[in-house]
Amino acid sequence: MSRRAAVGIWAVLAVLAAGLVARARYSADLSAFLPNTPSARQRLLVEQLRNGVASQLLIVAIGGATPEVRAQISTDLARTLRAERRFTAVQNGSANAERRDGAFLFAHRYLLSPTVTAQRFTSAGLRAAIERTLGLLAAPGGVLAAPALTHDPTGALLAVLARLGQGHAPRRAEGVWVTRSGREAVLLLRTGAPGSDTDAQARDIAAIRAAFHSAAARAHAHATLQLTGPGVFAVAARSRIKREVVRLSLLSGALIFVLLALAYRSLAALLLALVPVASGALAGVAAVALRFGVVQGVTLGFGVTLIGEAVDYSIYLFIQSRTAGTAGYADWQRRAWPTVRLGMFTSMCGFAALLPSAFPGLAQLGWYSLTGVLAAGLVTRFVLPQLLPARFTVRDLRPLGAGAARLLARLRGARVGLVLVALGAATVLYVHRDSLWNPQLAALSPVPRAAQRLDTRLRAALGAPGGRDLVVLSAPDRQAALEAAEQATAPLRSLVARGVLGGFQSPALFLPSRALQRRRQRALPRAAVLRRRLARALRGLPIDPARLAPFVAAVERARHGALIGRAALAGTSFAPALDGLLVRDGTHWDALLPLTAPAGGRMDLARVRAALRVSPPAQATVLNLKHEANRLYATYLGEAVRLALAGLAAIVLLLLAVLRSALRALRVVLPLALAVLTVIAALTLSGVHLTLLHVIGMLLIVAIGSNYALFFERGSTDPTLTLASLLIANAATVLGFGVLAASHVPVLRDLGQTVAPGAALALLYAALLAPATPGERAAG
Amino acid sequence: MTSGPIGKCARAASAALLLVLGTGAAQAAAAPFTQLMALLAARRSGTVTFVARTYAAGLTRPLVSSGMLRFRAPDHLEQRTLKPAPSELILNGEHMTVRRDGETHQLNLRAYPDIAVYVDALRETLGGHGRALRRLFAIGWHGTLAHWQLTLRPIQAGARVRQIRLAGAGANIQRIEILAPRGARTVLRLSRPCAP
Repeated sequence: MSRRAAVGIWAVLAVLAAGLVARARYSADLSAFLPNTPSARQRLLVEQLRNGVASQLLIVAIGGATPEVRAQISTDLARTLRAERRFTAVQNGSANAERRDGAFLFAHRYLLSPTVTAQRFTSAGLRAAIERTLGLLAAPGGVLAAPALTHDPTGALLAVLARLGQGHAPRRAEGVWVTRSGREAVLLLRTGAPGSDTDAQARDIAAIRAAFHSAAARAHAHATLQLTGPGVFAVAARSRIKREVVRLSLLSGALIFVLLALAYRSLAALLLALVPVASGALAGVAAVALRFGVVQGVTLGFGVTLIGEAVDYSIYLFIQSRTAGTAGYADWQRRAWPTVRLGMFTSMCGFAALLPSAFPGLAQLGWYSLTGVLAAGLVTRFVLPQLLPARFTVRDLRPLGAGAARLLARLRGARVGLVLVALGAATVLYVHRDSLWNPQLAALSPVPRAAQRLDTRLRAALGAPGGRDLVVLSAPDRQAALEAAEQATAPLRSLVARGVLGGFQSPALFLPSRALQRRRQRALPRAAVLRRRLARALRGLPIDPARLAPFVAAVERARHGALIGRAALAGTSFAPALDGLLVRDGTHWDALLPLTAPAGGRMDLARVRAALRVSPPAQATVLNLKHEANRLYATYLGEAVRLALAGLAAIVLLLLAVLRSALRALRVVLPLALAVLTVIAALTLSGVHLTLLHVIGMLLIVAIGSNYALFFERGSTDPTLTLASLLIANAATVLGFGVLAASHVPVLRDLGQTVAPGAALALLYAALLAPATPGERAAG
Repeated sequence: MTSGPIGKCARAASAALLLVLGTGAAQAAAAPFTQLMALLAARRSGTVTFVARTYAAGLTRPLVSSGMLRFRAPDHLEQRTLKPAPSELILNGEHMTVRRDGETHQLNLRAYPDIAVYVDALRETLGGHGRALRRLFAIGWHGTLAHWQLTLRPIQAGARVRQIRLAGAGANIQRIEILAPRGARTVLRLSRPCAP
């Protein structure tokens, strides 16, 4: 390829890639950590985590000031937010909202109430119900139910309220909901956007903050605002990932810059070294944008490591080609490039293994690094030499190589110690074999502990189900799902009565199936019949039958009126609840019944499973979302292990194919395996429980470390210089991953803390285990 | 209860005597409401019997029930209905126990704002907590310390309890009236267990 052509193609591709990078969509939400999954049950789980009701709930806590002021701010805030129509529900326990709910329940009491049966509307049934109502009126506080006597003498509404479980209502003070301690006023909001839409969540959160600040200013109070909920977590995680990516890129760039400045002592060399790095990064981001549509922020975070990897190639080129000018590079291309190329291919094998990962973040990391490394390698080979000025040369690093060789020669005596290291590491892993792994999906979560605790506390205050335990009733259509929910009601109620459950929610409690509503309509007698039966039922009771005309009219209306549909719920808190509890899932519908644990007790889901029976085609599934998420995570951990092994196998096969000798391949792989073993044992000893990212880190140790091992295995005409270049290249890689190890984002940290020491050890072990190190030959 | 009803009556009588002696003298300067609160605060506990009459639209005659009302400072209150059917409402702080139809419910008072209004009115009055009453209710005062009537209107918007009226003589509360919407109301007449 002619000199101009290479540079020209590179320039055109760079411009194209830059265009793609500029136009790409970037997302820094948590979806990189939520796997895509094929199984229906798991899809439901992931869907719940991403877009379910639980993902849309935000809890607002107002602290500071006095209880009265907090209540005032709560009311003001709720009014502002309702007016903005940004949220599908704004609840703060205010009487107004409750009145709307109450009006809906009252208006539809004869279609909603489980007491509506034919038996209840016989003379005897009416009499028993009315006597019970009178008894209630005479009880302390019963007078408050008295105004409804003429409209609802049988207590149909009370039965609806009892089922909806008002006992779990939050505490109130000054007319609004407060936390258990009473020190904060709380509001429950439901966002219009799904929880996975981080941009919308960020706007919603900003709106809450703005509304709070003006409400607090109007109240002339120093109140504090705390927010929690999946949306808050997602937004916080995103800004944290963004901050980290910028911070880590700058830091690792600066460190590598200093390293190269010290090594080269030449500004031109420094700038030229950037060419393959920048080309690789550009190509990587463009490739991810092309393949995935969206670039995950965390991919860019991982990509910091690419700086350390891509800079290696130019290091090899600059340091190893000592003769200035074209002749020197031609010589390097002939002697060293095959080794560098093979190292590049082994790295690519490692990254390629990540491509099938179900974690979008990992698949993107694999694709980004694969294309980035390839681009950096090609640019180093074909473009960089053309860009170098005539007579370009960097400082002679032979003294560094010679010093390292002398040190190695001394260490080689202790080579046998490596056996001890291997045995020690294996022993550590064996002893800790039961606690090696972190079994929690939460281990990958970038949400800090304190935020998780706040969330738990506020959720408890609201009696909001944690969204953790769920009965899922799947059916072919909406009505069938509601009917299944109705079938589940009786067994669940008996579990509540026996103390197995604290309570449960169900969409069927405020939107019965059409079939049930019709059954209830049929159970209601005609007005004339009802009047007659009432006259008989009321004999001897202190109620004038004529005064019950509103009751008779209400029953008549219910008999002929429209059935309750979704539209009837508009404006009540039941509308958003329904959207969350009755959801479409592909071709079928799911009714979700969140369960509450019994007070002070643990949930026994096995008993719930045993008690639930729904008739086909509906199906009942009882889930603990956290447990399911962890189980899902376990399968992905398994997947990561399989991918890592596949990557390792690909690397070994490649080495076998190129080196054409099992022994030579073993010589390359052995120091890498030892490095992996040492790092994992050291992490375990320091109390780290391994996550999926550590597994990926192990793969990368092999993928990157093979570059060093190959140089030792294949030998070199200028071993001292090669050793020097390896030292600098290794230092750059260790710096890149080392910076990642300092991250506050667990996935980045886990990867960094594995690969940084692993890469350093890979070089050391490869040098020690080489039959005769190039450096030694030079030193000797 | 450490003392029997007789002892309690004797104490009540001496309190009334003190009241009569005290009026017009040093306490004249303080508002009668404040004086009443001080009197009530001095009584740490008490038990009375009640007869309740509930009136509501649709009822041809009031529903009559009777039982016992008991208070112990600072926050124990119980209302036991004995007739026509036994039912109990027991409060210890925010913890509410309701027994009715053979079922017992342990509840948080604050989850039931309507009952909370009634309970707050009674407990804060019996405890003599004038400041707490002022925070929760708009207060109307009629009469004299020897023969008073207190009207408590909940400040909180949306309360279903419209008004609670208390009437009494000195530290003895004789009548409690709870006004619900649409003319429904309950009137409790209280008397001391030892009353003739």
